[in-house]
Amino acid sequence: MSSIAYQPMRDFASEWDAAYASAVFSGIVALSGGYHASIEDSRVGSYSVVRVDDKAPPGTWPRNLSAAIDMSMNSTDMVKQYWRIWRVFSNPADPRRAFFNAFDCWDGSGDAVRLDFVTGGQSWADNTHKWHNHGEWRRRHVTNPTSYIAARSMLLTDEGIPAYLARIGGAPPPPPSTGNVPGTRTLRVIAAPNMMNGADVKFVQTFIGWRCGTPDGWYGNGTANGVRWYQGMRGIQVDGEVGPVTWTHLLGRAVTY
Amino acid sequence: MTAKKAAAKKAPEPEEVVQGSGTRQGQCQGGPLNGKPGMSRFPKGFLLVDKQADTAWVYDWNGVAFICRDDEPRDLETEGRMEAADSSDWDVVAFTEGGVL
Repeated sequence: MSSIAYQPMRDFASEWDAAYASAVFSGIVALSGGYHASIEDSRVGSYSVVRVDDKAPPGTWPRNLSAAIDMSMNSTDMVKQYWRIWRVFSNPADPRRAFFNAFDCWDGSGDAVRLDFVTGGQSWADNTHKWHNHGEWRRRHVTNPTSYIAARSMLLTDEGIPAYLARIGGAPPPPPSTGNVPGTRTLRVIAAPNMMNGADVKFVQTFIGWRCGTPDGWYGNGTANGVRWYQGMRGIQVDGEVGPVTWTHLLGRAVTY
Repeated sequence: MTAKKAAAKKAPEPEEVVQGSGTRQGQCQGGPLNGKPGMSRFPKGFLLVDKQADTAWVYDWNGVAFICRDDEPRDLETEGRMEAADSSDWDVVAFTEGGVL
């Protein structure tokens, strides 16, 4: 096993431990795999090494580092932690999202959940995440100092976006590298089982609002109807698809891809 | 069920995130969790840490239950719990009144 903990990640884990009354650090490197194991120690096809930010083409970022922290807490602090994570997770425009792959956490009721920061989707997490948070960095950012500023801002101080941006001196967020970031692909209605979904869909739904129906991250007819309304209002071609022209209007900047 | 959690049903969990198959669950015997449910992801058991009281208890997994090793709590040695967190043998759990389930 070659997986090692990157010292700044270990240092951040100590900060996290100290920031909550009950928090106790419970691991970075683990043989069980996933983001606790390095790229070198992960089997081919593992979910933790297939995303663009996790593949590590030769000569890019280290292949021997773990990329996750476990932090045990009592139920009171678990809930407090959950809402801090949720605040960032639920806002597609939050620049801190770009550093993390997912968090497994618990809101104090029912089962634990996994919040996927790449797709914007949610799934169940096993019950051990009712007493420990599991935070995954995108491997590309494990050695990025700004990722720890973002983690501190989200997990420990519960800052809003302006405070975070001030903390990093207005530096731009890292460039997105996945297909689910707003403005990187054309969204259209495709029948199940290939219906389009992700953070970019949720961004559109959230931006346009109730005319898109429930903001669930899936691009169905309801979302397309909302997009048609928006396109008509903006005086652009009404086709129910979010292509470069519509993205340009939604994001307020020129979009080409 | 909240809308948020209903939405969560749409996507399956990555297989390696599901650690349930390797998780030990059983009743705790002795210590502050006596008679309450316990859980550990690792084979030897867990270290129960109460940071507020600066104390810790060791619960050994015997295949069926978690047995508290000492009647009295141990002084919390930071290095000790860090070593447990880094090991693949022990889980580290924050003290919660109702146990860890």
